[in-house]
Amino acid sequence: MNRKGLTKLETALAALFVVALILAGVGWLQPVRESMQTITVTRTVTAGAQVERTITQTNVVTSTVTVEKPVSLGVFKIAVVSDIGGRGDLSFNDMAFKGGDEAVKDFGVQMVELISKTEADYVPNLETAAKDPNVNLIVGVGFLLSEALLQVARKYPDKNFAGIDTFTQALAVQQLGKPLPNMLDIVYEEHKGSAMVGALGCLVAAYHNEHGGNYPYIGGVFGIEIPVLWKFEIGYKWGCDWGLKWYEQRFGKRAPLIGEDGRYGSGPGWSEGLYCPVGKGCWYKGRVLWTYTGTFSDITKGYAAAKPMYEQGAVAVYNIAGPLGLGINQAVQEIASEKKLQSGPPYWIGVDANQDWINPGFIIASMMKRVDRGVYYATLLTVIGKFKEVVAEYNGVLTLGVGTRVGRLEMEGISVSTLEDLNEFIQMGVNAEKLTGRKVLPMPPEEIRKNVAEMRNKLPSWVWDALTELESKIRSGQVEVPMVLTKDAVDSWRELLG
Amino acid sequence: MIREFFTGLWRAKVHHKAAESFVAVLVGLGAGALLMLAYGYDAGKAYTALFAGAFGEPEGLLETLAFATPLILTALVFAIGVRTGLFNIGAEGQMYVGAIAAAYAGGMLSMPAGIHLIFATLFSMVAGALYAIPVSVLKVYRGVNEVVSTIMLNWTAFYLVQYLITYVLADPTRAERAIPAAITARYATIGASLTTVFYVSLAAATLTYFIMWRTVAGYEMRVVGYSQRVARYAGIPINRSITISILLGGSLAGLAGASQVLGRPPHWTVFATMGNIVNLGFEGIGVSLIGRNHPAGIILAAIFYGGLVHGGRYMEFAAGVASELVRAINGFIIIALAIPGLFDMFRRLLRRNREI
Amino acid sequence: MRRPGVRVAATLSGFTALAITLTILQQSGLRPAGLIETALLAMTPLAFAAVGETINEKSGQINVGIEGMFLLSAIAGVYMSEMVNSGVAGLFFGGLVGALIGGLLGVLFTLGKADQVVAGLALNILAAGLFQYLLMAIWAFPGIHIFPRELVIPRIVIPLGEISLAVSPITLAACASTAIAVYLLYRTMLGLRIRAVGEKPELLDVAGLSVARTRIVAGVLAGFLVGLGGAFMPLGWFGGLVKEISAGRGFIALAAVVFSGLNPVTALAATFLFGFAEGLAYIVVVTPGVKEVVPFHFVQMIPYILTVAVLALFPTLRRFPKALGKPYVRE
Repeated sequence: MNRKGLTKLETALAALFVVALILAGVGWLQPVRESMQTITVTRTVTAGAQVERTITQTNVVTSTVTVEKPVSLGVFKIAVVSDIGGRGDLSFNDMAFKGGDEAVKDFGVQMVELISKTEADYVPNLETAAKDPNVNLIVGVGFLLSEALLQVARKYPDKNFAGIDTFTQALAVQQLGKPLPNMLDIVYEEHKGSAMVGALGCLVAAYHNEHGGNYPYIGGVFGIEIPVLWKFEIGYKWGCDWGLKWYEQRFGKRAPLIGEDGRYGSGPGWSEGLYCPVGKGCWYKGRVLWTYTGTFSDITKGYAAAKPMYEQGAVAVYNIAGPLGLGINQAVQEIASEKKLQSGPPYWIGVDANQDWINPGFIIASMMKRVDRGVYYATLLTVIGKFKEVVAEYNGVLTLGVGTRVGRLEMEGISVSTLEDLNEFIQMGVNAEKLTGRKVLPMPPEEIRKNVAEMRNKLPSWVWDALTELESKIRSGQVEVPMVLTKDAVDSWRELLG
Repeated sequence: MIREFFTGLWRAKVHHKAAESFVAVLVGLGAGALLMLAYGYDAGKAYTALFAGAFGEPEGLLETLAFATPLILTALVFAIGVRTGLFNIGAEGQMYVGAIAAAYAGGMLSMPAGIHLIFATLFSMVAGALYAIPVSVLKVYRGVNEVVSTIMLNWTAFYLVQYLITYVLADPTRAERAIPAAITARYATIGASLTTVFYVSLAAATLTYFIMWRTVAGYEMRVVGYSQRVARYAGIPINRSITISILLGGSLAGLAGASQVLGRPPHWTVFATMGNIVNLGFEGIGVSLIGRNHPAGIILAAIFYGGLVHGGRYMEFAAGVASELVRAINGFIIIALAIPGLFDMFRRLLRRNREI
Repeated sequence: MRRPGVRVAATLSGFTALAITLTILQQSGLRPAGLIETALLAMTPLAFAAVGETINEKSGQINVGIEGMFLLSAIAGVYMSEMVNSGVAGLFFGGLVGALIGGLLGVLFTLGKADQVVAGLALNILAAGLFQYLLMAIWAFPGIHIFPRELVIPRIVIPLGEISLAVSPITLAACASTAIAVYLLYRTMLGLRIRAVGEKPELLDVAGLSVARTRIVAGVLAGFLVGLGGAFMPLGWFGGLVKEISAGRGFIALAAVVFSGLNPVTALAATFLFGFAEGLAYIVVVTPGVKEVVPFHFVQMIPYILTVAVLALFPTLRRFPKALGKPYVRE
């Protein structure tokens, strides 16, 4: 390299080469394959549709399905593609894998896991799974995978795809004009579950206030502000309102402090602690302290968000951001060690998975979103060969909620954690301990059960009665928990509830 | 002419440098294998799956190239810096700025088909270069070490861009990401994740080569990199060379950001978590080291590294190994490369043994 | 031309701003004591790392891999604390692991002539991958690990008039370490050697002392402190292990070091300020009324912008030892 410059020929060649490359990059006109019509899609959610079809030839025993080992499945694999964070988020992803594990046990299929480290991994993961000839069902966990699922499901029409919390079919209708035949969006009625824990929270506050406690609020720590979380937010607040109204009815008076104090607002529309705008009824507004932390993974934000809520007198904080519950727990722990408490108040409320075992006695309950059942049922439908039928029937979107039935199968999607649920999750921890010989659970299983049971028993039976009443009313359709999907709806409910 | 080409390679000891990189890679892979074996995984099965998946089949190869694309560009940023005697690790932050600029230009503006894409790309390159200006100004006028200034600016960019994504450029229907690029601002797709922006990155690498090795400005930059005293003696304006180096790097980093927004299906946008662009700058440093800070080596190294990144999922799929291990392996490789003369040490060791 | 008064002035004005902010918070009903407590917690790992890195940089080495060290020492600390059932033991072990890594980096730098910045960055990448992997491999419960709460090092409650402040003893240890570092650097033979080897390594070589050994020792000391900071995060603050546990704090520590011009005491003050900014960011993000006005992203930028500003505005202060980042080669 003795020359510093370029000869004329070299310059010309170089320029040509570079220009050719650049043209190759930008010069392709986008083939207009997709007709981009903007169709406004109104998703009609038909909960509890009674369909008279026999979907399975097996015996249906309440909600467990006994499947005789299917004839010659060969190597039947399902693939579960998780969202960022993979296993260990103590909620969403973990539940999905749990469902897969159960399907493996019950149906004799094999499960492969693919963890997405960044958003760039969604498509490659889904493709890797779809390319394997033995994989029959590919499950994408999380709404962020919606576009990726659309792309890959289109490419592999003979493979079954399912998505948890995804809205792929809405995108499909928007971009292609019709839903995909091999894709099932499995969504949940989180608003119903949130309402239940909201009622629980406010009633617990009422109970403690009866006995001298000073709890004017309940709290909610949310992740990223996305439409899915609006369902949680408004459901939760609505539930608190329902709970306090129930208290009024039951006891003939307003709940102490949280039901009657004047601190929540004053001025037009307010009267005695209730917000009653003209023609819109009366609401227990402002009882919920809430914030969106903007993250589903930074647990320190959970801590930082919850701490001031407890300081301001929240009796329980609802965790709607998976692992952030640990941060909330940390805040609770600090208060507990300061005041030498063995159990709450203060409490927090778990989400998605059963998180009661993380700090037994300090978690009132968890709003369980049975993502595991979703994966399980999707596998079941694939195994018995009815997947595409169900897709066609439900236009590609299956909603699992309280009391959902698909044919003769009960597919419960949402519930508030019970002591039986606790056992399942304790078992997960026990298995991990057996596997590694190391402590995984914070205390021995019997202690966990004891603490949780004690905490629940300390609360008066009317609290649990209220919860049961709400659940059955939701199930039967007597009450309608608002389901919020648009900004306008959110704003109008926030106007009423705070 | 071909004979001269190869003689030139021999004289430049390309085979030497390639061997060094090769040894470092082996060290990294070896360390990874040891880790896997220590915890009971089948290392052979894992690596076979990784390489077969990343390079063995055509579709896998396309994905590998998709992952390699931004790495080529961020590696060039570092390489240009090294050749000028700088330690420019600002690719990360400048890339964030380029990405958000691409989201803006691609998502908020509307223009006719071909022009939109070209404009958006150039816009992000300029944005990246603009964000690099503080680095060069601080260096030239205040003598601030570029390592420190770029680290600080990287993090500043991180929060700034996150703010913009969440509040200013948010997708109205999807609060967790910025507005996706309009269809007129997207590169044509070749594979599932690969688009023609790959060609543009190759063009950038080629251009960089020509700038650095076939122009006067490039020559001056390299002299400054060799010795500032010599450069001063030769009358080369050092500050100018430094500035060009940093700004050129900034534009390439901006292009890297654009490549992930305008050139990456199925999202065509940046997420509020910034997960799809984070760390590409730092990994580019590793790629540049493996590629010996030369555009040709960088292209090969980027493809290799991209293969590791993509192949990691096959490791998980086939052998159950956590794909984070791939990151650990990459870390080992880079550490191995950070030690100059590692290969020479090996050779000396071997020679000594042979003599005995 | 040295103008130490400038840095003192900067620190003082920083604290004045702090006092003003606290008063404002008090008026708007937020509990400033809580903010201080969070600030102290956030300060602790930063302070350890900053003081450690100051020693490191005085000896002419630069460690940008503090993030990685945090992660690895955090895991090591939790592991050991479970083994022997003591949080403090775990903390100490975390420090030892940090010391080991620091020593290794020192060896790579002095004997292997490795490029420090690259090695540091590589350490970050390595640790990130290794962390997840180790979580799964050790506890078979990937992504997250909660250990028994008895292992968390409890805080002491200090009453100050009406309010009481809960402070971790480890925070106090961090402050003490600053004093120890100052004593070490300016009153002992070792400290003198460390500072000399950073400014003019030839001096030591000519005097027959080993440049490499001094630097490695500095690296070990620095690593120990950083390791303490890393292990503190799960064992003294969060009560659990997740990969986001460090969240960029390693770089904030680096910013504090640069900001303070390698002065351990100023570094401590800087880390308190930065910790305060972190705590403030959290409060801003959750307080209705405030969160709409002040974007918390900008609050999080504070440490970095402050550092750049200081670097830009006060160039004449020669902050860094001359031999920083260059391996010593005998001519």
